[in-house]
Amino acid sequence: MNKRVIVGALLVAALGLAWWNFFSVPAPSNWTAEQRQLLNSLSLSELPGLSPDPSNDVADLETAAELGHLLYFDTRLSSNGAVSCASCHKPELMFTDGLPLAMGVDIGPRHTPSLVGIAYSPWFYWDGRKDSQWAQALAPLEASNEHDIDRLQVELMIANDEEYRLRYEAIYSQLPEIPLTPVSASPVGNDEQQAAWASLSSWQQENINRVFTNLGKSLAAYQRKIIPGRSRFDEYVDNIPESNTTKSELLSATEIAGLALFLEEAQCITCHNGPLFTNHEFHNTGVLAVSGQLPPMGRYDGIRIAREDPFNCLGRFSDATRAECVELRFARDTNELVGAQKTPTLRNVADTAPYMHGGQIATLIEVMEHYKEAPISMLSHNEAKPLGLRPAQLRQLEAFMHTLSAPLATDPKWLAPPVTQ
Amino acid sequence: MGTQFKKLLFLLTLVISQIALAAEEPDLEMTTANGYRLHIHSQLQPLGINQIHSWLLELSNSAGAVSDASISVEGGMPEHNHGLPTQPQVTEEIEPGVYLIEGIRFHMPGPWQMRFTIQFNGTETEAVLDFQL
Repeated sequence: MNKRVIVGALLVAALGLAWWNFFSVPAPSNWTAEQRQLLNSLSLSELPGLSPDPSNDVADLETAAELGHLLYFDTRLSSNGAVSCASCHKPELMFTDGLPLAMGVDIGPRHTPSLVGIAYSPWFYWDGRKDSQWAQALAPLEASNEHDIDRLQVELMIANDEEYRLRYEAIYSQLPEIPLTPVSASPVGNDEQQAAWASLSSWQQENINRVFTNLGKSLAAYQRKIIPGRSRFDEYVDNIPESNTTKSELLSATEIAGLALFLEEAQCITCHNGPLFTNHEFHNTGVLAVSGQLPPMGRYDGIRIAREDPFNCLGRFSDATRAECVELRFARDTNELVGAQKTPTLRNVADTAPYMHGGQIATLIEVMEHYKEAPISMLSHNEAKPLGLRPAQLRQLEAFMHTLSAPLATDPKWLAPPVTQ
Repeated sequence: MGTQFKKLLFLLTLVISQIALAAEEPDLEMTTANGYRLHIHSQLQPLGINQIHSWLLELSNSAGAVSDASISVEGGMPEHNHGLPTQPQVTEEIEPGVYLIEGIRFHMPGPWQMRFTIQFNGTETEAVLDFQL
């Protein structure tokens, strides 16, 4: 008798466990009016055209994008002749590299973020240390672990390459005269580069900075072309019938259940909102620091760096008026931002593993598990709360992520190295 | 003397006003218990998330437009226990009683709250606006 009870209890427990883990929770049969509104807000049909970048006069100039395209794929822009922007932001991997940490001339401290739709963001870098796409493009060129060259070397390369020189001068103005020596100089380089920079007159420094920033503006003009394409999710949302039924041929029941969780129980939409599935803001979600690194201060430091940046919106290399620099002038800098990193887009997220600012999480299902737990943050506090979702629900969320993959809405000519004449 | 005097002068009036904000209803009106009328016009139409924009705040009382008031603005999502992603400021009184508030951006759908602290004629009034995005 006792044996039977024990066996029975074990059987019930095993069945319960199996149900908890494997049996999926069905999607609701109908979307509510509020859910419909949220769904519509996520559709790519709601993505407005790219606004002009007031800090970059050539942002939408085709010849500038063509110059940027050449620069983007040019490995001569590196100390070892092997690194271009495309080395880490690979078009074939949705402008990421598949690595936990970026590998330029040397390994870097951060995971390579996707560039898909990034032109819509007011802030760049995981910690938002740059406030324009062109200012962002300049920093990796001079970072010792990325391209590891400097602004004077870049200018010399442009001046000594006829195609570059002609293209540059057709967009901007005649390249300024370059001193014969030094051949390497930067205010942010090593001691030698800094000493060489100090030996230049302020007028020469100004000229070099002007060429450097103009090239950044061309790189930005090119990167503005990297726009997400319509995915199965967009087709689904744009074709929900008036009856508001959730069922459709376009998504599976599992994917629809994942979408419902995304909106409601999992609350992913809190930060991953709008047609790009990002609020372009900064949040601390308790991701462990990269092994061997101190927990980063994140946006708390990032906004301070952006304010000090000579290449920011308010600086003299920007084409914007003071009135147009609203994001920089009114950015928040409070303690809430300690340890906060930028919300990445979820467009094509299934194609851009690993995840988080240090590539700490290898797979999408592990990302879901991270949010299910919402661990205590090493620095400041984790804004996310434990989700308490079942394993089957995490798999539904993961399945939904795959519906956001699609070929880019970018002319394929921009996705490969330019054909040089 | 100064502190006592200021304490007497600064009468803190806390006024909580609940106003439902619909996207189709861009202009907001609220009146505080001590008679301030706030008329708010968002320059982003319809009001939504992820776009930085300005508001025009028309401040008046029974005597008409309230000019030269000192106004500070805070906002956030009380349910999520966090503030706005930006720090909006009154940057200009563009005409008597009409104040330009720059740097407003909301970054999440859900219930939001904006708090205006108005200092005028030695009194401090707090007006709280709740709305849904």
